[in-house]
Amino acid sequence: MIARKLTIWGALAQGAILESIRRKDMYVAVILALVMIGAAATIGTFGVHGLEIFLKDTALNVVNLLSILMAVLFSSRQIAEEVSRRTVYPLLARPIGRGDLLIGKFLGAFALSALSLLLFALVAWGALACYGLSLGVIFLQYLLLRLFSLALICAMTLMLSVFITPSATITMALLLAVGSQTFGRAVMLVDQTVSPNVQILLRGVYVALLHLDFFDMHEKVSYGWKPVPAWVPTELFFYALLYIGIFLIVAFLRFRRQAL
Amino acid sequence: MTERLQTIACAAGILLALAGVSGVASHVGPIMEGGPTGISMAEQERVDKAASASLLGEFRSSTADFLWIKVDAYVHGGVAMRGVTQQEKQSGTFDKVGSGDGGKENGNREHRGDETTVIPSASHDWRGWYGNIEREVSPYQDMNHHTHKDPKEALPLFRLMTVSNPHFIPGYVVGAAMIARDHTKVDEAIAFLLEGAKNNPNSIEIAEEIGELYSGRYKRQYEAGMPYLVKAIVLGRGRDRTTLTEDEDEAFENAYRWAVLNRREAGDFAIARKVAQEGLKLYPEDVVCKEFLKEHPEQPGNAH
Repeated sequence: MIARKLTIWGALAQGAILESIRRKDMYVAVILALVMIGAAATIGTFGVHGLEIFLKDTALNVVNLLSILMAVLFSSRQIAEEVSRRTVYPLLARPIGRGDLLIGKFLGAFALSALSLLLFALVAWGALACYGLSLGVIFLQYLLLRLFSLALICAMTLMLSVFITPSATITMALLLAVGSQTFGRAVMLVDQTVSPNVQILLRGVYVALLHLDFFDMHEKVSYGWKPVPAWVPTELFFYALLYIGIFLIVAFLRFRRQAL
Repeated sequence: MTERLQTIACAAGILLALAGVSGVASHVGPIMEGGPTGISMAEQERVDKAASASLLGEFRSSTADFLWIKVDAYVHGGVAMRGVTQQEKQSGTFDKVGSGDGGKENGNREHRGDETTVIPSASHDWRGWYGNIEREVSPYQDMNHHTHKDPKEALPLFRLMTVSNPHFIPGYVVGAAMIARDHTKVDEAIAFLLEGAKNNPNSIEIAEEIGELYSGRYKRQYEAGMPYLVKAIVLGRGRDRTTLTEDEDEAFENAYRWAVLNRREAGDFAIARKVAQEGLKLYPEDVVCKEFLKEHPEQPGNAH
C-alpha cells in the first residue's frame, strides 16, 4: 500500500518536474544565476576588500528572495494549470486520488524549488569563493533551514491555489512569505501597549501564524557566527512538518469537494 | 509566460540595484585617501534641482539611512536594536544596552540607555519556545556591557552613504571618527571631514570634529584646528539653541571644550579663559571649562 502510494507520488512529482523542464522554467533559474555571477564579477573587477559582510549579506538576501519567488511560482500553478488545461481529467481517471495528486504536485514543486535554491546557493557560494570569501559550516545549516522553509512555502501556496485564482495565490503567498516577520516584530512591539484582551488575542495570532523567519539564518552566516546546536534544526523540522501537514490537509479538504 | 517575464523583471531589478551599489562601492574603495572631493554649494544645488535628482532624491536618502542601519548592525555583530517604547521605559521591563567600556570606545556611538535589543532576552520574553528559537537562528546576545567589533569593515559603507547623500552629516562625523581609530589615518579622517564641510558648510558637528582632530594628541596642530572650533562656535551662536538637535548641541558644547583645551595647549591662556567663561554661560555644568577656570583663575596684571 505504502509502496504503491510512493510510486504514485513519485510519478506525479516526476511529471511536474518534467513539465517544468519542458516549459523551460529552469532556464529562468539558470539565466538569473548567470546574471548573479555577472553582478558578482562586476564587484570583483574593482575589488571587495572591506565589503565582505555587505557582499555576503546581499548575496544571501538575493538567494532568499529568488528562491522564495521560484517556489511560489512553481507551486501556484501546479493544480490550477492541470484544471485549466483539462489534463486533470485523464489523471484522475487513473487509480489516483485527489489527495495523491496534491501530494505528488507538492513533492514536484518542492523538488524544483530545492533545485533552484541549490543552484542559486552554488552561484552565490562560488562567486564569493572567487574573491576569497568563505561562508563557513553554518552555511550548510542555513541551506537546510531554507529547504524546510521552501517546503512550507510550497505547501502553503498549493493550499492557497485551491481556494483562489493563480494571480491572487502568488500575491498572497509572497505577502505571507515576506511579511510574516514584520507582523511578528509588530506584535512584539505593541505587546505592552494594548489592553489585556487584545494582548491575549495578538499573542494567540502570533503563536498560530507560520514563522518563516525562523528558517532564515542568513544574517548569522553573513556576520560569521558559529553553527547553532543540533536541537534547533531538529525542532524546526518538526515545526515545518506540522504546518506542511496542516496546509496539505486543508488543501485536500477543499480540493476533495471542488467541482472540476 | 507573463509570470516568467515578471520573475525576470523582479530579479533583474534586484540584481541591477546590487550591481549599482557595488559599482559605486568599488569606485570609492574602502580606503579613504586623498583630499576633499566635495562639490561646491552652487554645484550641489544645481545637481539637487535636476529632474533625475528629484526623482532619485528619496531613494538617495533612503539608501544613506539603510546603510546607517547596516553600519550599526556591523559593529554589533548583526544584533539588531531599537529604541525603547514609553511603556517599556515606565515599567523598566526591557533589556538594557550599554558599552562594556562605558561608551568611551573611540569612534563608536554612545549608548544612552534608551535602546534595547529587537529580540528580547528569555527573562523579558513571553514567547517561550518561539523566543528560544529566534534567539538561536538570529544574531542575538546580551548587549548589556557589550564590546564593539572592529569597524574597519563598515568604513566603505560610510563612503557609500555620503556619496549617496552628501548632506548626511552623521555619515561624515561617525565615519571620520571610525577612520581615526587607526591613529596613522587621522589625516585621512580629516580629508573626509573636509569633504563633508564643503558639502555642508553650516554643519556645527563637522566643523567641531575637524577642530577636535587637529587639536587631539595625534595631530597637535593647534593653529590649524582653532579656526574650525571658532567656526563651530560661531555657527552655534548664530542659531536659536532651542532649534539645535541633540547632536548639534553636543557638538556646540564640545567646540567650547576643545577650543579651551586647544588654547591651553597653545599657551594662549587669556583666550582660553575667555572661551571657557563664554562656554559656561551656555553650559554652566561643563566640567572642562569649570576645571580650566579653577586651575587658571584670572589674576590682575597677569596675562595668564
